[in-house]
Amino acid sequence: MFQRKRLIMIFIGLLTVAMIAFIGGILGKREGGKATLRCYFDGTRINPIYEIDAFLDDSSAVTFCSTYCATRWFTENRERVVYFRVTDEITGQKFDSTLGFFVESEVVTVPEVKNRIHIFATKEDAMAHARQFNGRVIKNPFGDTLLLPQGSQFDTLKVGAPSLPDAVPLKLAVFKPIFKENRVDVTVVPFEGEKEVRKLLSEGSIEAAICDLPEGILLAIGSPTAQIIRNVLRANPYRPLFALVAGPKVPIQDLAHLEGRRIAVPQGVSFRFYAEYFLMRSGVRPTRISFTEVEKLPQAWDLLSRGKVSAAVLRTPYTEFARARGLTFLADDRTLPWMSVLLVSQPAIQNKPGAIRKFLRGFEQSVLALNLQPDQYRSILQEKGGIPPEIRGKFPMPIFEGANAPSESEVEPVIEWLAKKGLLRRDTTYGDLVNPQFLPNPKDVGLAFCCR
Amino acid sequence: MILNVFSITEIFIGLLSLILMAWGGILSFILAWRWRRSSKAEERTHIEGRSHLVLLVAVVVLVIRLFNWPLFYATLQSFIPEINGAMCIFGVTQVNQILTGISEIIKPISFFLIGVWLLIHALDQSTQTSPLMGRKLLFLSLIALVVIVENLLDIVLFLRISPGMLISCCTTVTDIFERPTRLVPKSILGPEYAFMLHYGTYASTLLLLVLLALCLRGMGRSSNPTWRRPVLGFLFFYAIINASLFLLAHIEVFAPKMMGLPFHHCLYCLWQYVPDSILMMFLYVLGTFAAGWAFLMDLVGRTSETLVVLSKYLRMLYSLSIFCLTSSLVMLAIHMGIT
Repeated sequence: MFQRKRLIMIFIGLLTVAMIAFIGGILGKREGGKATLRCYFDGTRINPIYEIDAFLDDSSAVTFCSTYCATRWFTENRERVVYFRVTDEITGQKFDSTLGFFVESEVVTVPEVKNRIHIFATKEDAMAHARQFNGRVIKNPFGDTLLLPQGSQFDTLKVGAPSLPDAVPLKLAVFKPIFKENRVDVTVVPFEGEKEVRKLLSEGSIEAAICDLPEGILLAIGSPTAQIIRNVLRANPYRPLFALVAGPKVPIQDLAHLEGRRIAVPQGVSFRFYAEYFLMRSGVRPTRISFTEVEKLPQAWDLLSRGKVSAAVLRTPYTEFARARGLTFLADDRTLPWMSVLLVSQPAIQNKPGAIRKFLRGFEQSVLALNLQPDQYRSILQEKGGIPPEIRGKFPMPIFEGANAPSESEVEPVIEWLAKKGLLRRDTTYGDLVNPQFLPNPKDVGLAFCCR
Repeated sequence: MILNVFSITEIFIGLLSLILMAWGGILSFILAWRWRRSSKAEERTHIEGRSHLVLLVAVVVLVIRLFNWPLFYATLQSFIPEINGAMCIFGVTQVNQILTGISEIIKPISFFLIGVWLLIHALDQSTQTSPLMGRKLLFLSLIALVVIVENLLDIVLFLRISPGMLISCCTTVTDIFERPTRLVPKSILGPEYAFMLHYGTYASTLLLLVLLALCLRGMGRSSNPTWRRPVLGFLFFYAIINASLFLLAHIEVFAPKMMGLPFHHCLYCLWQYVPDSILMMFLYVLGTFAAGWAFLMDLVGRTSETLVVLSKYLRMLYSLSIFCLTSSLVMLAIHMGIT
């Protein structure tokens, strides 16, 4: 009887501890569900300003409290990481670690691990911190380039980008990194002017580029041939893309008064096209105007603001500069249908359609982010948008176009003008220049996303 | 100094038991010396009469000291929000590494010795002539010394820990790749050391349980076999080795899995994230100590008068050891199953 009673007691005791362990384990699992707030390496509470995310080859992500924990974990998990996303200490923006500037200073970010490594998105901020807190700029602890795990399939694409606000979606997608999220490694190759982009395309140094429509059409018939696949930025009733602006000391209110006067036009077929279009539309014959061709847009602005020319053809962001200075807009494209475009070389279209699709998905995500939360990404526009320092603070975020390509009616006048100038064969068709194969099916996507 | 309910209780208990144990320790030493010198029954009866108060006070203080071990860690835990950089008890221990380190070593020793003394005292109380009185008093004076040192360390430590100190926590020590708990087993067992530690711990504990059960079965209710003492000694030694393996496996294998942090090896963090692991570890410690208590009881408490009661105590301790180790193993298995 006593023996049986004792056995029952032992059984109850064991059952009790088993229940405790079971409940503890379940609760522990629930606590694990809140792991987003804790470091994956050691469970430290995460301060969002120092957060580091590692994106893995199985499409999952893990979060760390500091560079200390992330690098220690990385040493043993190198083969699993696709990329790291770090946080800029100044703005709180999350961005691709390969673009970061790292400073080791006296200031401890996460005392639990005594982490002294600070991360900044700009070199200026990094240097300022290093100066202020007795620090030094160090090598990127995650590596300067994307080292992909063996199992990961990443497509690559090299895209030419002008130093203009038009390239901001591209630069944001690299910075965030939206392209890497879409498993495409995009290299941005900066260029200035038509000559350079033509050279880069013909050399194969870039496979795609952002440019204005007339320039895009000419590049499309070059060697190798290319095709326009997307619109990027278009003028709207409030903000012109191109404008013919009178100088500050020139009392002209009408284009007709420009006859016999000198106007500055930057090099490139697009500027020439807009200059002639504005004049012809007002009945002024271009032959009666004296054109001063300058190499770059800032030079045209310089001549105009110094009164060396009576007017100049300007493009955003200098149109905003002119507006800020109160200059007279003799003509602009606010009601005109043209835009800047994205074109892709034919070899890339043939050989890398998958990469282009991933690139476009990332590009459109970036456009959506910019259009929905323009203020959040103002720093990227100011730093990477090619905006003159004088108007950086006031320059509004452009509204970028969704998934769309130029229509036949939009392209036709430009083809006609180029053909008239002998730059294009008259039998060139819309289909040769614009490729709609990468446009989303309107039935599959919402109206807000797609227009055609 | 950080003032809260825990630290005030800790210091109060520390001061009280310091005074009482100093008095009790000196007195018990004197009484033990007199007991040894006396040969007449009247003298011994007189000493016994004088020792009642000392023993009563000692029992009360020592029982309180048993609870001081968990209270010590509860106090350290309560300091975490006050120490800049501490995310678990490890961070608090870094404020005064040496003092805390000594305290942490002395606490289990003290717990073990107090347990032995209380058991010997209970064994002696169950006899007619108190045959263990001399040893008991001498042992008490030795324990008093350990308890006094422990108390002093506690008081000094808690007075010296100040709020707002900046320290780094466990990650910088327990998670480095050069940590000894990783390097040593890896060099001995090879790269698959984690797997071997995992299943080795289960196997070793199961073996210990089987041996304890066999020994328990072999010990008769009132018999006094000659093999008993060496076997008890061996099992105590094996239990210590097994506990070390359990601790190592916890640091390297079980704790990271139970916490859901595969790269974090801090046991203090485990207590925070999986609080029932405290019970699991306590049961393991109790199971191991019970095997040790049995051996020391046999070593100190074996007299012609205690033979029958001692056997009963030994059986009881081995039963306790088996129950505690089994419970701890069940808890561990359930946790591993869930994670």
